Amino acid sequence: MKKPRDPSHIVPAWLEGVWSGVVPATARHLGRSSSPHNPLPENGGPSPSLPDGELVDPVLLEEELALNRALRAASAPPASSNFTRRVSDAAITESPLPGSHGSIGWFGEFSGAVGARLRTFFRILPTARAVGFASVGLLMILAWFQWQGQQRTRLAQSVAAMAHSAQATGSTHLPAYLRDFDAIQGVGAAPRPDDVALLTALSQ
Amino acid sequence: MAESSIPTTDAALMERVRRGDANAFAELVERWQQPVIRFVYRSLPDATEAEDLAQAVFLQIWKTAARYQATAKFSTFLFTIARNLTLNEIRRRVRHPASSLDVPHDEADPYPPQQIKDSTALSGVQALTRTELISLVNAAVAELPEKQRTALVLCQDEEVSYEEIAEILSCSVQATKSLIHRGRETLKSRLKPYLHSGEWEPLKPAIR
Repeated sequence: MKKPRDPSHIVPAWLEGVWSGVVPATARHLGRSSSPHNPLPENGGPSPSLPDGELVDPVLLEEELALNRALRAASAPPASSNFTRRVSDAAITESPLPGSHGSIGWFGEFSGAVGARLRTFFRILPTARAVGFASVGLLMILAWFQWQGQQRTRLAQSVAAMAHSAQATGSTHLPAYLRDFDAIQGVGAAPRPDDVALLTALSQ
Repeated sequence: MAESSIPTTDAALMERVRRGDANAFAELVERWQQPVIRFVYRSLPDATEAEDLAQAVFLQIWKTAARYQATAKFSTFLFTIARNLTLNEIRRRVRHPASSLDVPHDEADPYPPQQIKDSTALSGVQALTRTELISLVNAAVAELPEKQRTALVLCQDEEVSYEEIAEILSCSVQATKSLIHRGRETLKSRLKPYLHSGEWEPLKPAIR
């Protein structure tokens, strides 16, 4: 004799019809013409079988159906009669209409592809704005470093010129303070006119 | 006139909602309020809280209507939002557990006062038994792992297809079937003593 199969493995598939009340479970699946609410065979009757001929354990089947009944009985109570109105009021109060002027301005009036593109653009505007600010900030930092580099190059050139002049006057060692770019920068990057005149005279 | 008799699809209604049609939104709410409340109620078995959260779900639909693509089924979009908001609420409760100020009771009292739902359709004893049984079922469902509960509830209550449930849960169809099966097995083992109490209403065809 065929061993009855645990119905829980196949319940979601074939009980769908029973749940919706469309499939006459007892007649089609259990081979008996009884009420769909009482799909089990009487004592001594044959075990219910699936369409493929496999037997189903009646006890397990009854458990499955009892669980369905329990779940159905414990379903949520009906919604309040004013639920729809409450939700609609809250939607209009809390947030402007999705396609209204308040959300994306007069561009909301555009229809078709142009309208869709404009709406998309204005939807991503806050993100684009943040990315724009970040880019500008980054560019400013890069410009600052560039400017600093240029200043230091100019300073180095000045120091080189001074060193060259010092060598021309017979001094073999560059004064240590001339190697300190930061100290020089603190004094002032541009040489005073009399210093320039002196250096010129010395170089001659 | 003939146009009004043709039932409007959810996708068509959503398209109108995208354009800011409040009437279309109201129609969607009317159509889907009970499934959403049922879905939320399975995780938070309190009618008022379920309604409040369902309202939040519909408000989210209203706010994010522009993101809805007609290629996806509306119910998938709806239940995905419902699931996310329910999960957020559950997480919020875990982080900030609340205690009622209305009914102060002695912590040492082993039998604190319980509020019993009024069920005028049944006699006192029957109502008590039935209410208790329903609470047990609701508690058992609410205690299921989230994915099992969602899959089981969508399949059992809303008759959502396996494919759609798989999409909502971001898993395979086979995994969905497995989740439903395991959920049912867990419920059967937890509720076994009560399933044959004879208190459950007879199996009725679903009204959809």
